[in-house]
Amino acid sequence: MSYDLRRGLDTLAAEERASAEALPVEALRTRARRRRTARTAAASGLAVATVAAVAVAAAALPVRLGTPPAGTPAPTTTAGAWPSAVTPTGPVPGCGDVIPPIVRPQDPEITVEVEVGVPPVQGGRVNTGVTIVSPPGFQVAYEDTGVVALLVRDGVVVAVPDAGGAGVAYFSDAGEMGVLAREPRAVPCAADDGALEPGTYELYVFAELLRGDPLTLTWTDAMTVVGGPVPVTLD
Amino acid sequence: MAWGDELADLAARRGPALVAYAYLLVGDLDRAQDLAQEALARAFGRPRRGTDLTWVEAYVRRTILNAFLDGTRRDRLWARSRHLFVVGDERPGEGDALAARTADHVDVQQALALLPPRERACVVLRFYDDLTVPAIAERLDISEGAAKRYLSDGVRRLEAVLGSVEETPAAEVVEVRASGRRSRR
Repeated sequence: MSYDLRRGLDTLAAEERASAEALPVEALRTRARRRRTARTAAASGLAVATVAAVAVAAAALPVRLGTPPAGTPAPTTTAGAWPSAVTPTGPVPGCGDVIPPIVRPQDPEITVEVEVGVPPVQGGRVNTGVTIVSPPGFQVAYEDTGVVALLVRDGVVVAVPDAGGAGVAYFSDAGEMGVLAREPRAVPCAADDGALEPGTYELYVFAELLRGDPLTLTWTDAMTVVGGPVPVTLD
Repeated sequence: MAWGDELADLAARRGPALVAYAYLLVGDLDRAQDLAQEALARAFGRPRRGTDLTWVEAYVRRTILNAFLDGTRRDRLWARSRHLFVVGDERPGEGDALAARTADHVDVQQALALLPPRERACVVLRFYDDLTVPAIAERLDISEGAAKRYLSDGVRRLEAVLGSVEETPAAEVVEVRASGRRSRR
């Protein structure tokens, strides 16, 4: 007698349907609203297509840091003070370091939204989505090497990403900087077997934002902003 | 109806079905819940015209499928070795819950777990969503030949566990093309 696969799948789905918990509607509303807000901010600035084109051009060029060489056009980015943002009071922490106190202004203008993928750590890689949102019209950039996801426990960094990123720069003044699919390999600081213990951790993202000339990829100043902490449970 | 209310309505009425669909793909209830939530957040995270929730559900299902395939594509090494960790991933009480389910359920679940992602996706689309081979190819953005191959390989693998698999009449779709040729799939 043949196996009725169609019926088997229907039965399996029906049983899972019965045991599935109700979806958290309010949390879903919040996630969707956040995405809508970011999109609205993006649409109110320059055309996204223009930004994408510039980003592609940037990806093909080496990133240069420091003072613009003589004869280059003056930077065209926004001068003056940086918009308010969540910032650390110390340098980006490394393995075993304590997370520095974080300054959290009310209603920051630059935000770093952090979403953890499913599962949070897969095959040693941290599945992290990062969206950097800046005020419309404020041009800001980042290099992919300057966005770092850290796993923290009891205020101490317990896992850091391995070396990664190609030094590519992306920039936008369209509000939403875009979502970075960050999948650095999490290197535990203490464990000698390369594994993270099961339990609850916090995920922080430190992002160094840059200002300068998008055409010459010359940065004039930088500011580190922080996203998170986002709770992460490892089974 | 405001978009937030539509989201609540769809999540309440169709949430379990979306989770079940995701479960057939990923084989893990927690991941299926997360996948369904992410897909709903994406669907309602952008303004759209119209209020046809049937269309939105179709979009959510497609997003679940793409997220499943993207996730497995990102780390193929892990996908290949995942079965090695199945026992370790079992949570307290999960074994009892599994035992309480029907033998039929466990057989299909175990058989599906043996399939690589694309074969699994093709099997679910064919035998659960009742899509034709051309529709599967379109949904996965692959050629019809590739879809047939994935489906054939997937069914063969399933048969190693489940015995010969029956193609019920609903799966036999006869398409009459404009040229008058008949093709049977």
